[in-house]
Amino acid sequence: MAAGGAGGNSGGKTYSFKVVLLGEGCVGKTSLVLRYCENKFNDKHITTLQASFLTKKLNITGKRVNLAIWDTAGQERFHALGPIYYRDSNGAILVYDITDEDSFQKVKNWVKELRKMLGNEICLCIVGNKIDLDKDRHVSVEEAESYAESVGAKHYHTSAKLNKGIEELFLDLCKRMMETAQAEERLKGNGASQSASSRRGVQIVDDEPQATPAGGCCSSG
Amino acid sequence: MTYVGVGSNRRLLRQAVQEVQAYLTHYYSIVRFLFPGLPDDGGIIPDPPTSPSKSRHNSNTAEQGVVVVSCSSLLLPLLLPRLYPPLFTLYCLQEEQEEAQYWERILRLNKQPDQALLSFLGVQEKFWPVWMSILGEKKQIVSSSKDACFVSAVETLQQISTTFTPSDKLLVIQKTFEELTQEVKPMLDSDFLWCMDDLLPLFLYVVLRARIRNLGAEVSLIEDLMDPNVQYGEMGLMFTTLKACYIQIQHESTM
Repeated sequence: MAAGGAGGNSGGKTYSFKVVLLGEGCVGKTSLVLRYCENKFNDKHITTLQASFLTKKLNITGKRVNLAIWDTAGQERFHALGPIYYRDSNGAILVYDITDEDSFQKVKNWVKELRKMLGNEICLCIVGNKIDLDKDRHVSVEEAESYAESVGAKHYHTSAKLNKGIEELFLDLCKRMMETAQAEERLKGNGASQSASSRRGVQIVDDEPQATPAGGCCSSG
Repeated sequence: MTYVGVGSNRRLLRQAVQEVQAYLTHYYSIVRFLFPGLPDDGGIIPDPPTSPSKSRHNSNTAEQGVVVVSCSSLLLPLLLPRLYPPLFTLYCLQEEQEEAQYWERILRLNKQPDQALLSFLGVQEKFWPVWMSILGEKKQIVSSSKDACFVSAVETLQQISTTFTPSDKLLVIQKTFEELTQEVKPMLDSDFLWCMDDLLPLFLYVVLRARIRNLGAEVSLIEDLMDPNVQYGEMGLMFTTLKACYIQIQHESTM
């Protein structure tokens, strides 16, 4: 991925981010993103992979952002395939079910793995879903939030059923990914790591409707 | 390319790939010399009235119908058929060990009848086909039926070996997903949508039944030479899922 082609005749920039969605089978990760990208399914334009691959276009403080959200299989037997999917991701959304302690444990395992493989460059969001079932809560708010803080992740509470907290989650994630991208850009501008090749990065394209990153990039990892 | 023959070695693969990429860059610079209006590789071809853009690395999946120049999609169809046999041989050599393990699993798992395999792979029962058609005759799938499920997806994926360029191979993968969706559709509610939890085990079944020789070589070739512009789009996820299946099969425990 490359921070390529920044600058140009107009001020508009487009950021393209890959976000990977992790979480055990029944935590509701698919409903979560479907809620967020819902409007996409109102028309007949449905992608081949349907809810496994969703895109969303945003406009944040005058900058255009394209999100590509990759779903992953949450079953234990496919755990080893994680790295193939989250390679080059800018962000990860780790979903657990607040009524299911095991699913929170799973999230912890993924966090460990992601930090090991991708370092601090990836923006992590830990999401406690199903807050509509708060009376059956098995993961305490304090525990989850302090854990998230300890690993440099942000914690969110959502309910896909009631459509709560989802918009905020994605907006916040986008802002954080943009900050990371801008920091990388500055670093590149300074020539600090021009020759550094990296597996990940962000593409900044000028004035184009959609862009997918490619090529080498600076790394600060 | 004289990489294969006596003393051909998998260590020559990187060299060969670099040579292909060097050809691409070189030929594209000639093409641009002849057609000076062409933008850089990855640049977009502007609509006549709009202003040209200097940006690189754009996506050619852009919905607004932007045309992106990609020297690999322009030149590989011309170049690759000539270089394919030696290049593919090198990929096969490179993948020899993993491939052996993959093939052993393929042979072993394929002894299973359809329903046993579907259940072993963790495919939910709602996706299990009930009917098959033999020579136009509809027959019920029973527990001893073999090679009766998702036949059209399996046959589509098998065509991957008959294509040369990464973009053609990616199209085969995409068509396989489309066929699979069509085959599953009659069994499900109209508002059903794929998620990876459902899709991966089913696609794994299709890959297993397709019994593709040298799948590892196919996967690495696509990975090295695919248009980087599509890498993070939907095509990228489809390809990643095929790669995931290849790796999963190698590590799949036996039934």
